[in-house]
Amino acid sequence: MPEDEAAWVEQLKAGDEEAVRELVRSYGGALVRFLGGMTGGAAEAEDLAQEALIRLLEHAREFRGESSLKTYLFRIAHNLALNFLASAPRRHEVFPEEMPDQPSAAPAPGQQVQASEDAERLRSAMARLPPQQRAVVMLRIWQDLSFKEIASALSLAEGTAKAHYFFALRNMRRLMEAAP
Amino acid sequence: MTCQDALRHGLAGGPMPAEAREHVRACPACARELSALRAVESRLAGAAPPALLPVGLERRVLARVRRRRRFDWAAIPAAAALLTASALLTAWLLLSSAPPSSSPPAAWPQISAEESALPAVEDTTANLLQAYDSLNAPMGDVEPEEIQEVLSPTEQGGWNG
Repeated sequence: MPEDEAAWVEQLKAGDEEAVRELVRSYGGALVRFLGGMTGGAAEAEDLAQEALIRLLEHAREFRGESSLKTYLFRIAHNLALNFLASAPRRHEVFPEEMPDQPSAAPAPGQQVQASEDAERLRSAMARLPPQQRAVVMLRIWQDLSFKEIASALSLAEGTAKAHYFFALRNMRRLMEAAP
Repeated sequence: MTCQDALRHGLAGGPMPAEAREHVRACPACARELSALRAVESRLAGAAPPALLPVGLERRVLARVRRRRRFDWAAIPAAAALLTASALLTAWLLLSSAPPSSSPPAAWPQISAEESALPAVEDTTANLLQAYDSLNAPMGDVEPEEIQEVLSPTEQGGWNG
C-alpha cells in the first residue's frame, strides 16, 4: 500500500470527514458503474455502492493494508452484489435494456455517451455472462485492475481470474456473433 | 502448450511467454482467435459507461457516518444505565423471594402414632405364604363351570351367541 494511501486509511479510521469525502469522490462513480453492471439496476447500484462505502468505513479499523483500498472496496461491493443476486434470483440474468447507460446524476457537458449499436451489442453480450465472468471483465477492462488485484477482490486464485476472463471474452464473442 | 493456454497468456496483459508466442505463430486458429478476442477487449474498453458520481451519494454517506457516530456515543451511557437497572431489579427480586431466615419452622406437622406405625412383619410374611400356596394349587380343584363364569359374555360367544 502506498504511503499516502496508508495515511488516508489512518484518517478514515479516525473518522476524518474530509477523508470520507475523498473516498466517495474517488470511488463512488466507479462503484456505481461496477454494481450497475452486476445488478442491472441503477437504483440498486446506488444503494449498494452507498452500503459498500459505509461498510468500508465501519470496518476501516480491521483494514490491514494487505491489499489496496480500491481492491478492498471492490471486494465488499462484489460480495454485496452476489448477496443481492442470491436474494433476487430472477435477476441473475441482467437484461441489457435495464443496464444503466450512466448513473442517475446529470452528465457533465461532453460526457454524454452515444448509445451506439456496438455498445448495445456489447451490453447485451455482457449482461448474459455469469456474474463471476462479468465481474472479472468489468474489473479488468473498466477498472484497470491487474489479475492479482482482481483475484484479491473476488477471493479467487489468480489463475482462476485469468480463466474467467478468457471464457468471458470467448462467450462475448460468440454472443455478439449470434446477435442479429 | 495447449491452444487454450496460449490464448490465456495472450490475454493476460504484459509480454507473452516465448512458448505461448511460438504456439500462436505456428497455429493459425489460435492467431485468429486471439486477434478476435483482443478486438472484443478493445471494443469493451471503448464502450465503458462514464463513472459518474451519483448526486447526493457523498451527503448520504456522511450522514450515515455522523448518525452512527452519534449513536455510538449515546449508546454507551444508555447501555450502562440499562445494565445497572437490570442488576438492581434482579437483586431486589432475589431478596424479596428468599425466606426471612434459614432456621426450621417453629412447629413441624404432627404425625399420629397410627400413621407412623409400620405393618407388622408377621402379617406380611403370612400374606406372602398364602399367595404362594394359591399359585401352586392343582387345577383339578377348579370345575369347568367356574371357569365359564369368569369369562366375559363376548369371550363366550358374544352377546348374540
